Amino acid sequence: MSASQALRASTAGRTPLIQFLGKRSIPESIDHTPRPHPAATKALPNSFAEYRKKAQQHGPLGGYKAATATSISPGKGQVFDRSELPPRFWRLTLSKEEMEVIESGGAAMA
Amino acid sequence: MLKPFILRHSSRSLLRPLSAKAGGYAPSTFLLVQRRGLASEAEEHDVVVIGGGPGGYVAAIKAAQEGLKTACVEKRGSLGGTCLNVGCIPSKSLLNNSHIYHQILHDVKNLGDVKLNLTQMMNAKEQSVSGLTKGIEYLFKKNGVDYVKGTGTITSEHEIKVGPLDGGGPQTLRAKNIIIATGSEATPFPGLEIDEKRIVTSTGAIALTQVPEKMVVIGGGIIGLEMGSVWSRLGSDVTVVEYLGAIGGPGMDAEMAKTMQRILQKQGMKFKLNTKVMGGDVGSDNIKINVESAKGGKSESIDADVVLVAIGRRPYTTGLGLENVGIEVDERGRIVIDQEYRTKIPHIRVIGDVTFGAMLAHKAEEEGIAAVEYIKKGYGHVNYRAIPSVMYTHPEAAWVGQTEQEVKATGEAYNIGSFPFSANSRAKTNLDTEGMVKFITDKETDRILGIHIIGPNAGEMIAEGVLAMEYGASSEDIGRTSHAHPTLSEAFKEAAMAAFSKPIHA
Repeated sequence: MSASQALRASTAGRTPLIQFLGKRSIPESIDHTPRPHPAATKALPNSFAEYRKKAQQHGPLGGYKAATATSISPGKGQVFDRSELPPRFWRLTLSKEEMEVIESGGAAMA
Repeated sequence: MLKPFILRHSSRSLLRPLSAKAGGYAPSTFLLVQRRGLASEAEEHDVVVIGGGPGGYVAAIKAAQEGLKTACVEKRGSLGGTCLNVGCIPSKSLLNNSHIYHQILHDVKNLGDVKLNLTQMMNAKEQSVSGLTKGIEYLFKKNGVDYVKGTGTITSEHEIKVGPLDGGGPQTLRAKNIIIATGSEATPFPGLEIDEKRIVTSTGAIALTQVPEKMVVIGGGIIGLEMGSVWSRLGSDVTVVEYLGAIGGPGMDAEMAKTMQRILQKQGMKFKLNTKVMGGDVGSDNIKINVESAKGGKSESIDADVVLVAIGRRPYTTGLGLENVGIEVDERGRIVIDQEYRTKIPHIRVIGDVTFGAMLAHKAEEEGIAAVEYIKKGYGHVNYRAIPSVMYTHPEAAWVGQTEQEVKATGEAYNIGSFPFSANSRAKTNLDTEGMVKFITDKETDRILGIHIIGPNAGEMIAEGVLAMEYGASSEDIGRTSHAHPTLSEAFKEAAMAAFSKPIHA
């Protein structure tokens, strides 16, 4: 008698609530729609869903593989033209104080 | 982020070959910005983790194990976060050694002298911390995680500027995915300025240079009781002031909280429950803490040499640059995430104390693994109903699942099974019999809803309960499982038996 058969025979009289679930596997269909985190007390803010509608990432939400995702760097021989990107990527404006620091040659400012 | 954005959503060509005619290309102003900031060239990673605490370093190692090019940014100068450096680990060292000291002191009361060498006790603590933090550095090397020392600030959706600790120019990391794991910090008490010498948080409480004659602990939660225990054992007169009507925090079962309070009182700690702290007067010799009844009325002042502020912790996001990318926090400062740890920017995920859920190192670790699995496989798992809590006093307190008051509030019928350690053979031989095990089960199905333990080694024993809850076990499953004799775990089995039938030894 094999070990597993012997085990089954020895516990034949009773069915425990703890069940052997088998090897774990990833469910075939997973809903990646943003929902509140289980430990959060509130619903997701409206801005979350609104932003998500236009949010970009590499591939579909959730189910992509980072190791094989598209590079976020420009290709060889290519550059980004900053002026056509959103303002946060533009050159920072120098403040008057910054200019003074630069012009002072690095001397401490009072 | 830039390239796919451009390729998918713009008909204009934002990516231009360098060989394009001069009129079509203006020198990138980005280079000017880089030069101004003295930033080094950006290096691209699949995952950059900000924060090297239990959540962050576990996430980084897991990500590297999954084949992702990973970096971990940590500003403390050593890995392990609050837990390893100034939290769980050093406090456990002090709890262990102060317990040994206290036990010997009382065992040999009439036989000889026992003296405390506090410096040596602190050295032992430092050695434990140092060994463990270096151990994580070794694991980073072994798994190929890039360890970047410095303060990480998110500057754009895919860029993190790291201000190095040792001077020099900042470094920029580019990441396809970012995991924020910046943890938490002690919540300050308004009107009491923390100097970590006389008015201390847990950080200062593990590094006092002498045993204070009188100590006031503001907050009767886990941190306050653990640190209060340490200094009480070493000879301090400790008074715990708690605003609520029970110690242990909101997660502790009311019956267990009362039992624990009685035990700690027997050990010499004093408690003022339902009491609010109105403020303090810090003099050169001592500190006066002014308190009054939470329900109004009676006020008094308590003298202290050291005051431990342990009213809770708050998420730590200072300097993280959330405003640069518009990531939201809730009214308690926790970063808002969805069920897959994603912020509204889906490739920026958040784990641990800095977001929702209990502020526990092991919860952060579970989330670190799950967040990486969501990145790699699109699926992760954390069961928030089976996260254990442990208080490392002596005896220890540990619990998992619902408290009796929570179950009662649902209106569902339930059973209680409990068993005292005073009836357990091993506890009796160890002369360590305080505490009990308590099971709360569903009356109809016998499924375990919560397990609460006060007793020797409760923190280890609760693991069996967590596994049982993870599998959806009944109390009968545990009651019919053989537990070795003579062990403390027999008390666990007998409490389970008490829930569905009757215990043998009580």
